[in-house]
Amino acid sequence: MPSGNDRRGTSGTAERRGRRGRRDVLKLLGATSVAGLAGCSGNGEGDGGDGNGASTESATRSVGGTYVSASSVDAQSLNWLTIADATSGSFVTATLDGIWAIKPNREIFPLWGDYSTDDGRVYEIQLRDNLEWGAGYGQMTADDWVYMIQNVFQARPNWSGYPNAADWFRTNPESGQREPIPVEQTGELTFEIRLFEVDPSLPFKPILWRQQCIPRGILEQYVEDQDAEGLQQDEELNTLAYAGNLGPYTYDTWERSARYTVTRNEDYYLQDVEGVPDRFAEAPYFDQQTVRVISEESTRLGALESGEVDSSGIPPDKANRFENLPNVTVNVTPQPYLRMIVYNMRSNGWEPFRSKAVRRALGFAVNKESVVQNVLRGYADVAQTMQPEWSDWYDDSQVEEFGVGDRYGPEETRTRLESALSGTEYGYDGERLVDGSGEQVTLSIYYDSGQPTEGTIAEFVAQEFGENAGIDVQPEAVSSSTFQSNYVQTSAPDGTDPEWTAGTFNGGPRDVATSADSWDMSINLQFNTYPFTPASSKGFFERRGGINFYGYYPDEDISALYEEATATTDEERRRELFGEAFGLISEEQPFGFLAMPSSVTGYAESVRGYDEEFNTGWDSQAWYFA
Amino acid sequence: MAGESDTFESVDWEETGGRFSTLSRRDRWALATVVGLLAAFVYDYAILPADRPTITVPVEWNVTQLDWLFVSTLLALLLYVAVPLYNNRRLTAYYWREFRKNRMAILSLVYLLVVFLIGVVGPLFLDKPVLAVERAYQPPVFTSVDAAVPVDCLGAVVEGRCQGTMAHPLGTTGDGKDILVLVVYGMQVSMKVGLISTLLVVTIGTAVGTVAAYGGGLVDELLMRYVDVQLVFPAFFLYLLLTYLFGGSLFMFIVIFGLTGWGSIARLVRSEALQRAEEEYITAARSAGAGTLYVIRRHLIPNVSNSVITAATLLIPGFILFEASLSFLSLGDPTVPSWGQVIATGRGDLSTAWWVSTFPGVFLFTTILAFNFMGDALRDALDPRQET
Amino acid sequence: MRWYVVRRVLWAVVATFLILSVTWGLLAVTPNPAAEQMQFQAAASGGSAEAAEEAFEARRGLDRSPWVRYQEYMTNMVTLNWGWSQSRSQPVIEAIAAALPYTAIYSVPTTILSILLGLAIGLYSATNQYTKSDYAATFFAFFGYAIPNFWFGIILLLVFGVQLGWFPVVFDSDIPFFSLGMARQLVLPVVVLVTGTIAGVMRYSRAEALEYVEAEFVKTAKSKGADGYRILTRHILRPAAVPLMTILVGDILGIFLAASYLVEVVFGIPGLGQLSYNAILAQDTSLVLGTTLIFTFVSVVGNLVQDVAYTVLDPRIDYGDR
Repeated sequence: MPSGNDRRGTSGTAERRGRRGRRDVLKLLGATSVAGLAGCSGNGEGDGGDGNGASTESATRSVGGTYVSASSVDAQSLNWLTIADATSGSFVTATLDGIWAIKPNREIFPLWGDYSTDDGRVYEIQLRDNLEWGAGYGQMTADDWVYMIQNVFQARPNWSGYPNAADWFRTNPESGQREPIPVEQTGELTFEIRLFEVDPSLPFKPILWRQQCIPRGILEQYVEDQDAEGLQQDEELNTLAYAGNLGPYTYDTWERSARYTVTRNEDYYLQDVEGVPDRFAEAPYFDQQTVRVISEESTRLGALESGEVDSSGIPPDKANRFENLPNVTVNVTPQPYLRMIVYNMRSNGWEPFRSKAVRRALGFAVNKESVVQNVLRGYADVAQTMQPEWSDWYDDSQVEEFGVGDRYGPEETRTRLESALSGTEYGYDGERLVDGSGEQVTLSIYYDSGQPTEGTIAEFVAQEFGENAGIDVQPEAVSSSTFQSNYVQTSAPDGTDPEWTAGTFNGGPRDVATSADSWDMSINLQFNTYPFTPASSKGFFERRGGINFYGYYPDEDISALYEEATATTDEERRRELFGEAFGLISEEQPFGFLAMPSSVTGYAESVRGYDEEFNTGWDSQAWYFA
Repeated sequence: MAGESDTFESVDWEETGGRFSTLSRRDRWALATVVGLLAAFVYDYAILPADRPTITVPVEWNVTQLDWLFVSTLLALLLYVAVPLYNNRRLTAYYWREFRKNRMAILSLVYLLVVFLIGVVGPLFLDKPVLAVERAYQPPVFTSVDAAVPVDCLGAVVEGRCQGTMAHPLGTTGDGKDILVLVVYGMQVSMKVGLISTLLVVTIGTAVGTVAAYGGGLVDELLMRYVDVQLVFPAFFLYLLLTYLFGGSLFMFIVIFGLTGWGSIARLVRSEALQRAEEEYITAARSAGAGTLYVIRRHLIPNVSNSVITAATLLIPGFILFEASLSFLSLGDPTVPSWGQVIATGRGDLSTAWWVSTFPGVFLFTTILAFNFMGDALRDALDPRQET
Repeated sequence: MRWYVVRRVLWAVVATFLILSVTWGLLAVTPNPAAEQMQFQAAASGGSAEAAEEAFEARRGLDRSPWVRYQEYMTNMVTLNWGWSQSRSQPVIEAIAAALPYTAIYSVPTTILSILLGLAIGLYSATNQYTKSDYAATFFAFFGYAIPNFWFGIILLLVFGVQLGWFPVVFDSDIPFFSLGMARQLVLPVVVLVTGTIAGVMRYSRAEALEYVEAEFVKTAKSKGADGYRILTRHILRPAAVPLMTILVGDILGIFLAASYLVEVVFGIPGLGQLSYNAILAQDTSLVLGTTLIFTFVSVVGNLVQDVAYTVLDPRIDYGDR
């Protein structure tokens, strides 16, 4: 069993370090959009699953029991063509495995099929031969896939409203246009994806990872008339009737806002497959799985404590209490989202943020260890760049650290800020940073009004800026939708024609295009670091990136490094290039990096199979009750 | 209400003949106050830089939009409740005797006055509670808690239990904020929520109700049918959508519920006024040549004011409770230290740190209770039907 | 009087229509968080925010003109084709039909209990005004009103659910409706709601009864030596019954309006309150309009019935001229 409450204070730090060391050996990588089952995530004995006792193989696996997990929100739909939210995705994944999974050690684990490629450009996908649709649609063949990709994903216009359609289009270097990626059936069970350019990390991208499929017979009814409404309300799609033997569980009932129940699939195809670990031979091991929707946090946690549910997410400030409970095991895993301060470098923000020296100086103002230990109660790691420290792409020798050890403090911040601001109207008057008219500099920091932890972080940052930089920072709460529409959407004023625009969130050059309301700093959004496919974060560091709502103009050409790394097939060289890119990012401090919070889940004591690693839910069909 | 007890001799006959014949001396005072407040408001917003406090002596106080509304509400209370009560000592004494019969009401009144005074004055002298993570979860004084609960126990640790200290008499939250200070700030927030919204509701409701009753015909029909729709339309829904558009804030809460919650008051006033409108002194006033506005102002409103005041007293706790509920659903403004916010943030800690949401909960509870007792006693005291 | 009733009914229809229109208009001008979330995700992963928005609008049928959408919604409302709930992937009618029983199962006992207890406490405190037991009764009623529902609910759950284990913590929708298990898990929500609603009924009945406590005929009865019980039932309750009845008619119709979102959230009951609240949060236009229609309809009809009952039951009220 995991240790008690020793994650706080100094001993907590030491323990966290120790565990991080082990993870380095594990070579973890991974990004997630849809993973694991219903808010829980789990894994098996996999590689080096020493840590938690929970995964020791002493007890034998046997089929039985009902596994109940708690979720704070309900799914929106089981018709995965119309959804993009993680909860709905996890509901569907229980009945439809998808093409392949990614193991925590960044290896592909073939489910419905596997891929092969010679050059990293043309990928051949080979499907298994024992995949059967339900509802009388016969065997799953490559024809189903190609039909779906070409007539739904790549349809123009996007009549079905498939949210990830953009993944299936790429820029063709010959024409310079975004074109559908050519896909062709090459055999009954094989088809090819022919990219325009080399992309060695394609199998790890959400485009294929856990990609699901729909029988041609269902789609044909709607493709011709482009009947979006019919597709959306199709009975078979909404009850997963076509799932056949394609997933570990079969849809049973879904009582909206209450519970989602799936029962064991006796014919699960993975039971008869050669060459997979033994634990899949009888998978899955629960007779039934239920997700209960409990929106009130205290009720949810009460249900975990009283044993009414077998798993539930736990907020960091309550985790310590659950570590002390005998009937609950707390599992802490890394997750890909980054907490950081976004500086507004557009003309309605504080102008000095545009200077790299100022941003670097402010990096000395916030004690990141304190954010991790006191605010996130030790359930997080310090962040220094756009990649977690345990990631394979993180190069210690390249990354410059801020806000830790002697690279933090009032003296350190003030001297650097003073020299960075020399030649401007700003300067120090005693302890306070003042502007030209002698008034103290006052900045705003926005946070999400629905997130109490975020409010605490905002207040903490405000205090640190006040004490260490002499800047008066006012925390402001704003709802996520307001933030999106009034602060993230940027555009040039009506009637002006900006030189260029890069979409809703980057409406033009930073001197011209601004958000509707002015702001200085924000922690409303957490950015994905994509530890499986680091190149996906490129858009954050491009002057014309579609997401660059903060008006960042990099000093160095970071995106060129990204591009070079993306097109490199040699693993070693790619690592070097990405290491260099993330070093540059830490040096430029486009954001005030703070922390990588961990995902904390409580499991009933009898649940086995999960581990303390990234994406631990990849083999949740092999979990069992001891 | 009491303005009506003018005797024949005390009526200023000069005044009734003037151009402002419908305005009493009190109204002129009110007008002057409004003009003064407006001037100060304009000065604060147009001339003073946004980040400079409005006044610095005797205490530094940057007056917000909400504060302006609150000050106006307090002045209105002074001019239209306190002053008339003082002017009509005989009637006041009578009401007091009636009111005094109810001991709980007296107790409630004292409690509410204390809460009100501390709430208005306290925040001017106490610093806003700040984040102090190392002081999280300190137990209240005279109690103790398992030493594992607080991050760092400020008091003595006896047999593995952390003792509370006088530094934080009611303990601290998970953010290390002092609960006593939060409770004091919450008093002000609750008073603002309750009093300002109620003032808005009473003003609009009375105006609409009397106009409908006295105007009659089409005016009455239009106004009352509108009230029907408004009463059925969920204000909560409106609030939710407007928070999407503009973000949730206390100011928004007060304005929305103030502007949409007056339906029942308007109905009440209308039905009371309908009864009065048929009475002889109104007919007499009309035949003496009094204008519509004059009759409404001098005869109708004072006569319905008793019912309005009683209803208003019972509206106040409703608004306070509603604000707390919205905070509980995290739809409120988390930067405002209201009782509801503290209860909401502490509700997950009830099993380890019971004090976080219990103390504000108790204050919320007693305040609502007190308003209810007072409302009931006021009804008994003011309702003429009870005069036997 | 017939003319009055006809006019009231017509007006109820118009009011419902107005409210639905306003609701629709408000939803139409409010930005949709789901759409924005999707756009942001698209932009963050290198895609095009505009394309994501178009796809979203196409899927929800938002790419047509507002007037066309408005007409379509209103026609569907009348023809009882309430549309498809986007946030739950089921027809709106089905969603409401699924939620209604859960609301009913706690609000029916709540309403009955609060009316009975409220009446009893109100009458008692009216006949014993300003005594210690009057204070105690009043205090009990006000206690329930003053204690915040959600807070009380959580405390009860912690004490009786988690600590003592007498009642389940999470509402289990799988248990058959008329069973001991269902009754057991409804105890806490009903207790919370009854304590919350008692004060209103009690206040009304107390005020009504007080009118008659001091009446001459009661005094006469007293002087003739009638006992307390007889006075209460014959001389106070009987005349007070008329106005009380009208209030209760409204109350009973309002059973479904009692759907308390807060209580449903705290206890995890998938009833109408949660349904409409989540619909608003997700801006699921069809579902918001469907639930609004239910609520509006019930309260409009409730008002109507209450007014009509008043005219029928109380001969003193004359609606001839209004």
